[in-house]
Amino acid sequence: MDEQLVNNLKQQIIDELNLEEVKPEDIDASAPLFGDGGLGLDSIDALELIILVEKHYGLKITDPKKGKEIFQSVNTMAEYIKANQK
Amino acid sequence: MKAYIQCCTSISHHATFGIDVPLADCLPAVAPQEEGDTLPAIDPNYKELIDDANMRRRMSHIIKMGVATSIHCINKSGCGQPEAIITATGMGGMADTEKFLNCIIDNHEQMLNPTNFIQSTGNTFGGQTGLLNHCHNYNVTYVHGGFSLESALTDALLQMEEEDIGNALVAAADEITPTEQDVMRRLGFWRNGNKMGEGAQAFLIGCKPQIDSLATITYPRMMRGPLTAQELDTQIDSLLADNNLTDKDIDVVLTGAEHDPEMETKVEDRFARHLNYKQWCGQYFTASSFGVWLAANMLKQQLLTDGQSWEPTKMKNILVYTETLKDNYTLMLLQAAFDKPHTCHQYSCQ
Repeated sequence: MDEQLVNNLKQQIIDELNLEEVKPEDIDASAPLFGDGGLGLDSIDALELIILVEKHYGLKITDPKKGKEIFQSVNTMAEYIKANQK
Repeated sequence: MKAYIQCCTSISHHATFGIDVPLADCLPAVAPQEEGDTLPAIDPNYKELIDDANMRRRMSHIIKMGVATSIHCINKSGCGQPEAIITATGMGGMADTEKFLNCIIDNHEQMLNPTNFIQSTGNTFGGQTGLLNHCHNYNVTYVHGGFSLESALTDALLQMEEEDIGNALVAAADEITPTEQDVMRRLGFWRNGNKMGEGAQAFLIGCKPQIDSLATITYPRMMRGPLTAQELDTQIDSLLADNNLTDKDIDVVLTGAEHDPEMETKVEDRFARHLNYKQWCGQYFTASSFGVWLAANMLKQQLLTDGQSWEPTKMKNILVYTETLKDNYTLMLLQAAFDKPHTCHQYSCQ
């Protein structure tokens, strides 16, 4: 896993979603982003994450089914970006 | 129609938020000269009032101020859920609006963040108060410039008169941002005496008196400019006559004038005592809510400032006169809730 990319993503998620009380080291990169046991994000955050990936990495996610897989965790986001970024 | 202000809360430039804060402790007898162009609000610990972290992190300053005062007011009043939540704002979520508009420009109308768009609308703090209070009753927001609070109060009073509701939360909030401040200055707004301000006040009003009611309030008078001195006099005459009062019955007029010194002088000359309430809260579209909060607490605590200190003073009737941008003029009459006012040491300003 690209540690630098994972750390950047953690910071970008904190900034974009305004997670005031969360630090990058608090985020478990393999924990689920949505629902219980992780950051507890919701559907509005999902839209913010789609914009984050497009804005920072130039990748447009159009297939909702793919989104579910991509945004499972910070690690899955990093994997998708690594595999698709030109 | 008279309604009773059962409870009120305030976030302002002074330490007006909290439980049991006597008026003499939370407001200086005369506002000190301060550096800078604005009077920013003092924020309470929002975590204690809005415990849902997911909700809180999306809230801009105006929403936090509006929700915090509203929730605190509902909790303090002990009403559980108000029968209506009626909110007022002159400009709504300016910080979110600015972020969203900047995003449109920066990202060439692509990749627009949904949160700022959703939160920028004027009705957000009323809606979120309803969500946090699990209150599904009537929920409406008035965005009517310098008539916003007055319109919200009118709505609540009309519904009480029709016996549709027995109580209502009426709340007002506005925030300042550096961009708004700059634009307003360039347009020539807010250029007279008082500084730009921000804040939020919430009032739980009901149609029946309670032992701890602060004051009564009647239908506000709203007048569009340009206004002549004669028209203003006629409105004051009519308001006083409707309440069986004469000029001598008004113990003090709280004035919130901005651009119309002629009309301000007219009001001040007509009554024996007057006090500029915007010295404490600054100028903004819903500043009259601070005037109402101050009048209610002055009546409850029977305290009046002489410019040196807050002194016990017997008062029954306070008139709140507000002028916004020489376009919106309002009059609100507050009266002591009881014929024999309680002594000031028994009650707090909150």
